[in-house]
Amino acid sequence: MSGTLVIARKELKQLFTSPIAYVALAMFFVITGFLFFSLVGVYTTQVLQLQGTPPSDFNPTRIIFSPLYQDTSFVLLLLVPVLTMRLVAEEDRAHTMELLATSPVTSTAIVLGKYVAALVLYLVLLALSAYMPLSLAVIGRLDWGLLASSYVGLLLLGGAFLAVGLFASTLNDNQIVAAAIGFAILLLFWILGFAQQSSGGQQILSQLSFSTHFNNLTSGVVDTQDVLFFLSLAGFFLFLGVLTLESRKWR
Amino acid sequence: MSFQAREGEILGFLGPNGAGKTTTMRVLTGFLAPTSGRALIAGYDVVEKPLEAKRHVGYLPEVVPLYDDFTTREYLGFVARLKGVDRRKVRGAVDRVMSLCGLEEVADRLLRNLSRGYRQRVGLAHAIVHDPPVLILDEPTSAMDPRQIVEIRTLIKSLRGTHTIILSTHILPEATAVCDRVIIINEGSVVAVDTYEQLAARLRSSEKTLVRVARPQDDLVRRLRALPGILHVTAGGAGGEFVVEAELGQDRREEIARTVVEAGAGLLELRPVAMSLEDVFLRLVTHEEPADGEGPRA
Repeated sequence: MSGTLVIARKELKQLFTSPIAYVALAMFFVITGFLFFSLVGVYTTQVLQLQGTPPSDFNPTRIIFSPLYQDTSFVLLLLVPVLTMRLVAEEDRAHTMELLATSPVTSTAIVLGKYVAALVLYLVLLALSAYMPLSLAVIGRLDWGLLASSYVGLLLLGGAFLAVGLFASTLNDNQIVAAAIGFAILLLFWILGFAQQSSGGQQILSQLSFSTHFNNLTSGVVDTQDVLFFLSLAGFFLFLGVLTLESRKWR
Repeated sequence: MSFQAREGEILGFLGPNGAGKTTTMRVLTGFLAPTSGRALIAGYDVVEKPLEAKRHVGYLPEVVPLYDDFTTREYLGFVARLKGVDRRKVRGAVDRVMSLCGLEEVADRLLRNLSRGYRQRVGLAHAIVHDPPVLILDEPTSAMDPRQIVEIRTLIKSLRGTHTIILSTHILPEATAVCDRVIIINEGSVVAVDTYEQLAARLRSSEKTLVRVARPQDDLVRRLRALPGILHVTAGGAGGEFVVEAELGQDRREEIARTVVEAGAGLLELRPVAMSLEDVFLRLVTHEEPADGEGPRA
């Protein structure tokens, strides 16, 4: 346990002293900021067209934030592999894995420490992104339940993405390759839900897709099935990461 | 291969490139798993009790593992915590190794800006920060200038007795200067384990004496060969040099000197040819007799 914390602390220091965290945060906020701005524009147009007689299911939170977080998830798909690519690959390149692997910490502690650090950075990112709903809360009434469910969704989605990216980083000592592998896995899990055939296999495939489960959460439904999907996926990829580290001893 | 380091000794690991020095060290430190056989560190099996074994060992790999964006102090602090040093004792442990390894003046410099010599010293400091009973050093003096090498050797020698040290090196004089015993390995197996003196004695087949004279004569070789107990006389080199080989355990220098002087050849030099560690090493790993008449080395 203490090994995990020591490594997490070191990773955080490295993340925040290297430009990568700031580049990633900047990229994230430029893109989501633009999306937010245009979605508020869409909402304004709709309000003008309705002439003050909104239908009963008219929900500004749903019009602005549901699509916003849908799009955010796609930004994360691109962003997370970049955040996680150096986690293990860089240790290999700098030969510092030899230090970690010969220290009295388990491979599990190494993987978890790195995961916790990446998760903290991700939480900072999510916390900062709360400026969008909060700025609208000043001038209007928002559906806090829907927002909370969306943030739970983003947290779970990001947690699973980071685990995939971390696993990809254990596979190769080249950061670019690690990012590419991470991106490929994430994209594959994403598009599993896209195919439209109604065969029996499609049911299973779409249940494995990130998008299916995330869409439920951004539409305000917190189902244990979706929560468990993300948690088990994160656990599975962390486990794979531990396995790759352990298997290195035998090559 | 099988070997054992005694408590408190400095054990040298010698072998040509690719002999398996680094691999052996990696198995001992738990970086690689042994495909067969057992390795114990301070009584703990590296496979069955990896954490206990790792806690008792300090390891300086061939490439010093450094985080470039850390300062010396931050880095050593991290390593101390990673190795399980009690949180309240981390600062003291870091200060101790920094003064031991002469790192005070670079304490707050980023590791990326350190010279190779300093990086190597930080490497040594990181290996001993948790005060392990066993130290494994993979070529600790590589990339250092001669003055730093002397400093590091002094430092390593000062750890003798309290720490069991295994160090690998390809610099042979280093092994003679620092180690109590040497292990010579080749192609993954131990060729010899002993003190350097005994290794040299064991491999010596004759007592060699180098004689240099001012006026070499054909006659001289014959007269030297006629002396009792002399096996072989080789004329070698341009400057009137002869190597006289006598039977093992027989010191014939007195007779040799008398013979040369009586022949009027003008004795300039006469000294025993000691076997250098290089000769021992070469003989063990190549299974060849070194060229005859080979002079002593510095």
